[in-house]
Amino acid sequence: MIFISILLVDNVKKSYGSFQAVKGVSLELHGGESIGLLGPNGAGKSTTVSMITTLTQPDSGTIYYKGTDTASNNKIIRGELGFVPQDIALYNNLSGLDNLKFFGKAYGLRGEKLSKAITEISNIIGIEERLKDLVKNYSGGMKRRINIGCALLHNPRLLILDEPTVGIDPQSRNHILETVKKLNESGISVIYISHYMEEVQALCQRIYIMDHGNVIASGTHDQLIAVSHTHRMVSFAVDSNEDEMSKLLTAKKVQQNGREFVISADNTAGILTELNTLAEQAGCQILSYSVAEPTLESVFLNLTGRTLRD
Amino acid sequence: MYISILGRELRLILTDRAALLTIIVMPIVLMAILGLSLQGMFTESVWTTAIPIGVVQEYQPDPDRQQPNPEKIFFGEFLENEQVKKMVSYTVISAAEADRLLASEEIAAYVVLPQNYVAGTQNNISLNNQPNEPVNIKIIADPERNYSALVVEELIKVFNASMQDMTVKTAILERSFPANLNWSAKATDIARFYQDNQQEISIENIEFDGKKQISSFQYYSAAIMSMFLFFSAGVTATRLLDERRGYTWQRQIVAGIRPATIILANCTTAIMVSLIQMLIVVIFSSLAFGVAWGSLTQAAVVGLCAALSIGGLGAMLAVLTAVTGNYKVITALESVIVQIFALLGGSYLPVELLPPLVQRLSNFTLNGLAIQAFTKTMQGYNLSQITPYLSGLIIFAVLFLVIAYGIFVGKRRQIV
Repeated sequence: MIFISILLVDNVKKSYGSFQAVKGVSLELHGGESIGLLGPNGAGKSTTVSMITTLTQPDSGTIYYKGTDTASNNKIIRGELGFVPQDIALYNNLSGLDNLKFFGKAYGLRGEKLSKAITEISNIIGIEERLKDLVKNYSGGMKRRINIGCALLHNPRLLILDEPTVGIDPQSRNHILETVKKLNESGISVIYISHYMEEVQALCQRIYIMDHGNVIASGTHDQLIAVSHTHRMVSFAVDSNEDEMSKLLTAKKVQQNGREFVISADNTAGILTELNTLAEQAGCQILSYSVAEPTLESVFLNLTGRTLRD
Repeated sequence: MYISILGRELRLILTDRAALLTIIVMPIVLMAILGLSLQGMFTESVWTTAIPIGVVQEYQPDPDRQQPNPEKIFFGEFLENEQVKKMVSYTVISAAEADRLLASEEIAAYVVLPQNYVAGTQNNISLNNQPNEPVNIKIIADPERNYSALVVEELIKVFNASMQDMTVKTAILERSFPANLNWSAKATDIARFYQDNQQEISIENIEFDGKKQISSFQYYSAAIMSMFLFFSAGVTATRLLDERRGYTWQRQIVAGIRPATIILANCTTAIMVSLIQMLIVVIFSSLAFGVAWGSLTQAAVVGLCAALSIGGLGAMLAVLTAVTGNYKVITALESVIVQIFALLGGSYLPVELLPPLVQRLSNFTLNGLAIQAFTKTMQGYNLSQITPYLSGLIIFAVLFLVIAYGIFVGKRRQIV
């Protein structure tokens, strides 16, 4: 069997009790490629990642890294893997430097090699000046950066980042995205998990959209858009009787926030007329109306009937 | 990597204020409180404040009564005895006043000398060939002051036993003499004989077989320190679940560190933390309270055995905590199990004061064994004499480790 992928996930399933978290996910990652796992909370992204990192064993299916089944030899992937967990996996009462030292040692680095790696990585993540401060005194963004830094010390060939920008300021977020982009450009393969469509869109060459434990669509950004190119996101607001309006819209894929609605429409030509008719039936008036070009968000809405942040 | 994890854990625990408060500050505070408040239970200094009691005379006092006068025996010879005066101070009061003082806790107990006390007792202890008469002395005690009441009760029992002894001896003498004897002359003759052959008895605390009596501070330094060792196990076991919940555990596993290495380092951390804890308590108690720990080498051996058992307990708790995925095991240990063991093992009260069943159970508690080994070291027992306690601690260590290993192997998937 010839493998052209660095990583091949073949129909893996995982259940916790009666709950099936992953229902048969397949994906592949080529060397130096960056792929994104996109989906709302509970889609099965983190469980899939947990199986790739060998922290969790799949109930069925196989994960190959460089052609070797990781279930039979987890060292093959662990030695080359840099894993950035969704949570800040650091020791808060140790300094950033001590955290980097500890995880560097965990990856087998010692002495000069470790010092050099710490200098290099702290430069990449832009945290040299605060390195000796306790992690608990860092801002959310700085914690996130150290969190990433700890996964980079051993020069991994595969980097998995699980929601690395949750809850941080825009500046830190941009820095992290830039860092990941540079790392990928330097040849590191990246799996980037997020429910932020724009991050995945900016960083990843290919995207896997997950929902309810399944991959519901995959491909490049343009391929995904093309799948539902006729679909548009139509946003509008009503002046009153929003509940009545919502009932009349149940046949369409609806997101509602008070008196504001978003629907996915495959034909926008007559949509305003149709909405006005429905508003008349509901006893309200359309106050505003806009149609957006297809995005990953609209693709997702079209495929699942809900937004990524649900 | 084992050394790196150990170093990291020690740094984290020894810089954690809450943990330090639990394992270092709390035992020192509790040790000081118990040592000060219960110091009387250990040395004769308990009698520096004599227990106040009342004496109710239901009989008609008669100071001029002919010898032997039981009233003079009770007050003059018994209650005014120098040793007894250190233990109790008495006031002669009415029954109503006695009830009032007892209710207001101004006296610990009162003794009721019955109506026939003088006449009956005199008859019983005199050579007069008359039948004996029952004399019932009553003690009414304050249930809130059990220990004081117990002391008073024991004293009166001793007094009663002495009188009983005299009564029996007198009866035997009466039966051994001829019926036509001149009783008055014989009684004088025997009284003189008693007086000439009287043996003075004094009570003092002495070393028995070279073993020293220990003070309350010595006892509670060992007792509280041994109890708080449990918290060292709890603190280190909690760390493992903290790691899982904080995802540093997962990060270490992905980095290739074996779970067994982390757990072993956790177990060693518990040993190190408990050794540091004991060292601080020993130094502090020596400097602040003048506690003498006996042979320091032997105390160090005891400390090491206790630390090993805590290491085993820590490993078992860590694995259990990791398997269950919650802090309930640690909470149960700290809020219930420690308290039960503290009571059974003698951390609150010396087991000698507890029922025999509890005394037997204390040999099956980790803190009980440690207390015995430490206090006996203070008393001057040598290493071979405390070997049973040390063996018990080592058995505990091995038992805990075997259980930890069994759970780890059986539930490995849940832990990893």
